[in-house]
Amino acid sequence: MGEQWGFYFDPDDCMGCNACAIACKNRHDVDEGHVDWRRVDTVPSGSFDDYQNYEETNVSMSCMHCADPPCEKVCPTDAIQKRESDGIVTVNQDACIGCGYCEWACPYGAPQYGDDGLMQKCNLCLDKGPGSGHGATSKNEQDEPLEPACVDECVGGALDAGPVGELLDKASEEAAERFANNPTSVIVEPSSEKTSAIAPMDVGTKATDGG
Amino acid sequence: MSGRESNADRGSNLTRRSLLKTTAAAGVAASTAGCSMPTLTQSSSASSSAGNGETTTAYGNCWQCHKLCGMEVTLNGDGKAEELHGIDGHPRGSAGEGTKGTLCPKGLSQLEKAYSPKRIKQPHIREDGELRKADWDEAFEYAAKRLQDFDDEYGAESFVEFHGWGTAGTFSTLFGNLYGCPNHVPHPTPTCFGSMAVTGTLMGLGGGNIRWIDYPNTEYVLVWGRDPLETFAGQWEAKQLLDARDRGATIVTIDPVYTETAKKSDYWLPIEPRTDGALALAMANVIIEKGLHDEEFIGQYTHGFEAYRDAAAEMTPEKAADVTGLDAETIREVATGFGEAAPSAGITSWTGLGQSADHQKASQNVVALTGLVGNIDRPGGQRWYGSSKLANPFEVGCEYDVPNNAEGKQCHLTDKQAGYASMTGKPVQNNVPKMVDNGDIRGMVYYYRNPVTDGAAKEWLGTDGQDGALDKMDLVIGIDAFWSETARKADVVFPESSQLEKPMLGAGGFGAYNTQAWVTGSKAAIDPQWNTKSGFDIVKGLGEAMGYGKYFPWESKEEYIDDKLSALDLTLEDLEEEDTYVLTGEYGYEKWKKGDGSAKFAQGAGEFWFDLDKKLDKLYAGLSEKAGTEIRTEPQYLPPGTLGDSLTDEYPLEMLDTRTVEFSHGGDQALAAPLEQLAESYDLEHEDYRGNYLVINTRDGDERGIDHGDMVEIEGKHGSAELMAAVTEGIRPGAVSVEPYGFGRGSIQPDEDGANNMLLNPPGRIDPVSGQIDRHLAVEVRKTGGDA
Repeated sequence: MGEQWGFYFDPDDCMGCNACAIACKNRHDVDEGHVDWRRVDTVPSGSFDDYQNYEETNVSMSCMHCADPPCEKVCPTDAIQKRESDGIVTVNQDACIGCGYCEWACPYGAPQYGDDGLMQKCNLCLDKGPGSGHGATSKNEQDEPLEPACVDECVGGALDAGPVGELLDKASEEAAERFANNPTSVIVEPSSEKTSAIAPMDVGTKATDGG
Repeated sequence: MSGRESNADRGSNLTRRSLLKTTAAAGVAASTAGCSMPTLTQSSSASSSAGNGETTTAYGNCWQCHKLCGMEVTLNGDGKAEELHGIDGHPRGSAGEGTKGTLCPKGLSQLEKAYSPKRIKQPHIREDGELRKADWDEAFEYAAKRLQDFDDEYGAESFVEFHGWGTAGTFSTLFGNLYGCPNHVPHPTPTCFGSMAVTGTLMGLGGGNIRWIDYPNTEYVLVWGRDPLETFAGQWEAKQLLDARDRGATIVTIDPVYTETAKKSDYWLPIEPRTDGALALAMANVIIEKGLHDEEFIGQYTHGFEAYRDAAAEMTPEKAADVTGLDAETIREVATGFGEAAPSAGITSWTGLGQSADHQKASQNVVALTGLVGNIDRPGGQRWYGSSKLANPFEVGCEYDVPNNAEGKQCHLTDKQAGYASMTGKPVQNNVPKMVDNGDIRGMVYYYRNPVTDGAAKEWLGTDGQDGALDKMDLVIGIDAFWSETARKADVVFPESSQLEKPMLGAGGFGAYNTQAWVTGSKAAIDPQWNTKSGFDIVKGLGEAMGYGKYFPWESKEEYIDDKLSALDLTLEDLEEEDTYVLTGEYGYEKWKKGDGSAKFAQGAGEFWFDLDKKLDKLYAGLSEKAGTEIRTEPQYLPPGTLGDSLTDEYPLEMLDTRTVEFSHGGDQALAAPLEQLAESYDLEHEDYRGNYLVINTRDGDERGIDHGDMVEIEGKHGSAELMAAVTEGIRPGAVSVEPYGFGRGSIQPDEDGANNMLLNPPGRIDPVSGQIDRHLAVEVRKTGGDA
């Protein structure tokens, strides 16, 4: 298997500005209307009465390109594929019947449905547009792989993408440790705030694919 | 934060383009031939790229919040803009040389704006009481005739020019110099942060300079009534603030609202609104007691320290804690940290301390801290940015001397005898409806400005069958991009192209390069959409129809810009070859120091003034009379309600308002993507509502039966408005924040969802010193509906 591609996210550098979400919509020509390949959530903790410990943490999330994706498992038409070549999870819209099982199975809310009723989601910018990326050349073999739009326009420099091995080079020890016990392909720095924003979820076993 | 990379270190993110840029910067005119991305070709203008079948790159400078962040525009084979990206190293859109440039959500939304079907698509003129479509020549002729008739009947002194953030460069030349209208409502006073800006200038810091910190060198940052991670003046500011934090600088946010910047701060001080003056004096108390003040600077370069010291001595941290709702020990800690780090310590403040009658004196106390610790234009302190000087294009390109036909005509806004100006002689926008009622003003032109969301909204728009000022005026001319109630009440509407459709230019100034001046500019990336024109072409066309054609000799805005750039021996073409920007020269610190050892501060005096007795003794005597309490010229704490609104049993909550990162000055409220992102940021995107939000503490919500997502009415003595509640622990109980301001009635939000909270602002509710409209109003909030 080719090296797994993934994202890197540091909540301390995320300003919650949503540039990532709009850059994503621009690139993939996705109109407004609840189709969000990427979104930013805010996780509060504490109360005003103890304001010195009140915290809010920003979390920018998209498809986690899981090691063993639950969406792929439940897809009745095998439209969803975890690619051997780069680990990116893609959807073949020609095979998708819009049943919504994947949406139900995904713990991160990644699968989205456009006006055509077909599933669309983050493809790590393998290509542009809903449903694109299925059958595309591996990111590992492309001469100039497209930088994901969300990474390219991240104002705070909180997001990065690439082969997981390279991303781990810039990650803190704690982030690497968390990643090793986490079934997604997203490396998340611990927030200096206390909130554990993305709780590791038991949705599969981590592949040891050079990542 | 150790072990993290700063933005500046993330070299791996840089594109080949940016690396070449760094090389090119050494020689300003170095060619960048061949530096475009391999699959792209460079376009030389909007029209030449259209339809040749290849993907091309054009440039832009974002104008959504008027800060000119550089953009690279990807055009498809038909010349349509497909993607927008930031420019590495850009003075406003990056953290500086060798760092990555980006675009914020406003910048990225320019794609939707350019092609939005909600835009005003062609000129309109009023005929038989109705607005109807017209072609450009007809609209120009019609407007010129109406202006001539107006001048004949009432005189140009009965006209007001509302200058917003237009890009023509010639708007005031046409209406002020040539048409002869003396009434001009400028920015920032009286609608931005006048209470702070006027005070900051009078003291000698400079009105705008309380915003700017020398981030690359700072060790301690007080973010005081501003949210630079959300309302940054160009993305450089957010990036450099995050870098300073990564470097170990301490960040303190002083704000009743848990802002985006508060999330990244070491301290959040949720201060009771309008008590900032007490906190600032208490900090001075601690700094002086611990001997952390700059005795040399104070001795040599300031006036009025004794009176300041005495005022500070009375405000102990304990006393301030009672007033501000903060903790005395925290006040001591922050004051000590700031004092010890100074002069490498700075304050960034803005509307949070600039929009209330009670802020005027509070901001004096805050600005006084900069003199106390001697951080003015010193490394790591308040930065006085230098700037590139551009040529006056009329002197370069126009062979006729531009007259000043407004000379000698009464300016109702600023002539003191007219009775409408503020106590410092500044224009009071809120007085314009009264001028209309009195017959002094009978017409107006506005360009990229909408006064009805600034204040006195009822008086501008009318209500309950009563005509507003816009209805009563004989002539209203608008240059605008989206329909609003203001535009619909106008007699002539000129549709303006958006930023991607017009050439842009700017020089600075504040930005990522803290010791280097710069200039940035770009040609139009795409052609004007529908039947629109750039502001420059609108002013030129109207000027020609009015008989002033000889003063507008330029064939295009590009020619006009090139005349401005001639002072730097550059052209717009040169700037595009340099990825939109060129650094033009270095400058140092302590610019208030003159060569002969003397000093000159922003008010023109040789000393920074803690005490305003040299200029404002009479003013404060008058103000004392008005307030029924002694208001002195030196720093002094005035409790909320001394000059501003007072909270009562009937109206026990304090309403304030903010901007958010998706919107600036109302400029993109007609766009779907930013509206949806705003809703998502409050986790309310699934509601059928795309307005602004009333942020309210859980405790205040519970007392009123208000849940997150309920529709609520805010009511004050003067009016009311309805919007959706966002309930959170992240705001001080007793304060409610309208986020962002400028929605609802009169806005360009197509369905007018949300609240124009200035429906609650009575015209007289202003800061009498600066004329700033007071946005801190006493309100009650009640639930009007469940989930919308």
